Amino acid sequence: MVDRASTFADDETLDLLRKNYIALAPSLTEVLKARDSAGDFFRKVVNQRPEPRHTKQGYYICSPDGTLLKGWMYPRPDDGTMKRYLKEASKAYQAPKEVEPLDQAKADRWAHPLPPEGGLVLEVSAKVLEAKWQPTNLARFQMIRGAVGRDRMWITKGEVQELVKGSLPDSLLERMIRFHLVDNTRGVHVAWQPGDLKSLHVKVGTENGKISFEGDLNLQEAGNRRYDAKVKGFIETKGSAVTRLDVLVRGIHGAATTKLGELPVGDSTLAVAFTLAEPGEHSRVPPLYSMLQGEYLKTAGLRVSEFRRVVSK
Amino acid sequence: MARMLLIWIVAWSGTLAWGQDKKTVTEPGAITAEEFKSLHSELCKRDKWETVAWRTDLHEARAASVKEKKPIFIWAMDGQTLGCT
Repeated sequence: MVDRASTFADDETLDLLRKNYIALAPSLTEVLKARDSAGDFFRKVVNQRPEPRHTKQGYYICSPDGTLLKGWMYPRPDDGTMKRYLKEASKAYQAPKEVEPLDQAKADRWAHPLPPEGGLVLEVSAKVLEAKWQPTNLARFQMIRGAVGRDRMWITKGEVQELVKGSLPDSLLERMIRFHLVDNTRGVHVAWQPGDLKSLHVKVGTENGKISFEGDLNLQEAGNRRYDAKVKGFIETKGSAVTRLDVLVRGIHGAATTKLGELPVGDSTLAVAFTLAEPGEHSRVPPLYSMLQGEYLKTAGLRVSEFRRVVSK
Repeated sequence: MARMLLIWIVAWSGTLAWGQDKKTVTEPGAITAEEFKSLHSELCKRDKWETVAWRTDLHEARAASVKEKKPIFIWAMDGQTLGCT
């Protein structure tokens, strides 16, 4: 988050990246463990960096043969090091004459997960609107107070078919609530457990292939977080395709424990927006919790169904 | 001694109040059509860092690097570097 709000908010840095580099942003945890040639190449590059030893997070400039030209993590926030390295490395760069091809036949799908076939990808954006922030001397918190947290959400083919028929699937709502109604504006968040959903009211209306829905929900995690929120959404379809899926959730988010990623402690107004992801790279970024595939794409034994069943009785 | 303690408490709480955000959190009502439009578009707006043509596939990045004779810049973070991190 600090990178997004400081280093990569600088126009000259972004210009240098656009003009002089091929910019790659993989997910570190997965690619480090990938049992394929992409993982081998990545490990070859990052293991050439001597410091810091405790993490492989950071920045690397390399040639396509795997030679590391620069590798660093600190200082954070950046003090101009990024621009200096970008300029130096591109000026000195000599493209290798020969680059050995990599075997691309086998891709480790755990490390490079694909969205469900025939499904959809949503972009998820979260922002803290109002908050009583704790006093802190950490400069990075000043930088990221206005940050927007990003994630992606997957929708399955079966759920798309339900939407086209004019109904709002429980499984889609459950995924949205448990894995995406979180404050991820300052770091990786914890997903809600099914039992954390204490109440849910959703009123769905359909007209001429358009679905609109509105409601409220209450999430409570024992001894720590809560989220009391209002929900509003619009879904439009054409033939067998979903052409619009816009949802806004806004309410009071509270956290009782002090963790770096959980500031501010106390109440804040958290808003989360969903919309269809643009095709291309934006749709290729997997949701954080897609690593829990069975749980993330769960369609049975849903907490949401318990509430919606009560309403429909 | 008690007076000194009182002065210290008042001074300390004043410093704390000064250091804290003055904003208050208000209990919001239902989402209006206007709020939906403005807040939804505000949140979905692209940030500056998203204007770079970031790639996620290492093989494609290597191929582009060879073709365009440009070095590869890697930004690697825990979580999803371009998503939830």
